[in-house]
Amino acid sequence: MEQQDDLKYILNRRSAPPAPSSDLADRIIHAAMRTPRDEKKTIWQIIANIMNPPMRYAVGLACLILFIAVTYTPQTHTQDDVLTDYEFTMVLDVYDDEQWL
Amino acid sequence: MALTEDSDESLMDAVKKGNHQAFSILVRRHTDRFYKMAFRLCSNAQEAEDMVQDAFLKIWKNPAIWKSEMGAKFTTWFYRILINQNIDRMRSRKVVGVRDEYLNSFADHRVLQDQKMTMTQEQEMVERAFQSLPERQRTAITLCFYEGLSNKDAAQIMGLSVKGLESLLVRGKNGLKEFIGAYESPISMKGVRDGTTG
Repeated sequence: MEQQDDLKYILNRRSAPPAPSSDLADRIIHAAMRTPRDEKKTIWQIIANIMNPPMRYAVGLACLILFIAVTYTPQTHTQDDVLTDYEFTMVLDVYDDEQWL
Repeated sequence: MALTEDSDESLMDAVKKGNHQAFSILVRRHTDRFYKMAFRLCSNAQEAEDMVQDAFLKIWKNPAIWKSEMGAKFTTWFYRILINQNIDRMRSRKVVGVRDEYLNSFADHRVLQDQKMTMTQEQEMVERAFQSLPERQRTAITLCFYEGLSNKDAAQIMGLSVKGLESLLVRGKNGLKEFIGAYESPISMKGVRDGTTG
């Protein structure tokens, strides 16, 4: 108790805080009006965002699809199916040899 | 039903549902009180206002942090937010020589000249002594002596045991005595030593 009295004696000699601005409460309320709230999204809101994406997401997705389409064009034939000139000549030679035999 | 009659806790539940009127009532009801508390902590009028505004905006923006089922009083819970704001403020600024800020704050245009004049040498000394204490000791003293909270409530707000809080108070008091004794201020603890306190 004595310790608390000592402390009170000292602290009571500290000057009182100045008054806040008269419009502080109004400023806080108006600032809150301009501040969006972090509200939890429901599953339906998330699905709606996917179905109707913001423009920047839509453009980004379109660019990605275009890039994939251009880069990975499917090949209509494989390298193994094509004979080079050299290979074709070899085939002819074999054919000629068989003819002579 | 008029919201103005509602308790802080039920208003806060309404704020969770996005009720702007409930938020406005809470702000108007408590701004002055929380501002004084913030000023006691940081000793700067502008920063105290910013702290209160940021704390209120925090609960408006993310009201889910209010858990009514925990049974806490709104004011007790809000003190904790303010204290955290003060810690963030100090960390971000790496405050050095905070005690001098108090005197600078009196250059604030809102502080009347006569108020500046009435700040006696004794008050200045106590203010400097208070600002020389570590942040946790200042917070403990502010909650218990200026806000009038019980040791139990103050300990809960600060996340301490009651013994831990009492230890902070004792060290705070000793720190104040040492500071004032070292500067040999006009009060010079005479009243304390003579037992003529209060």
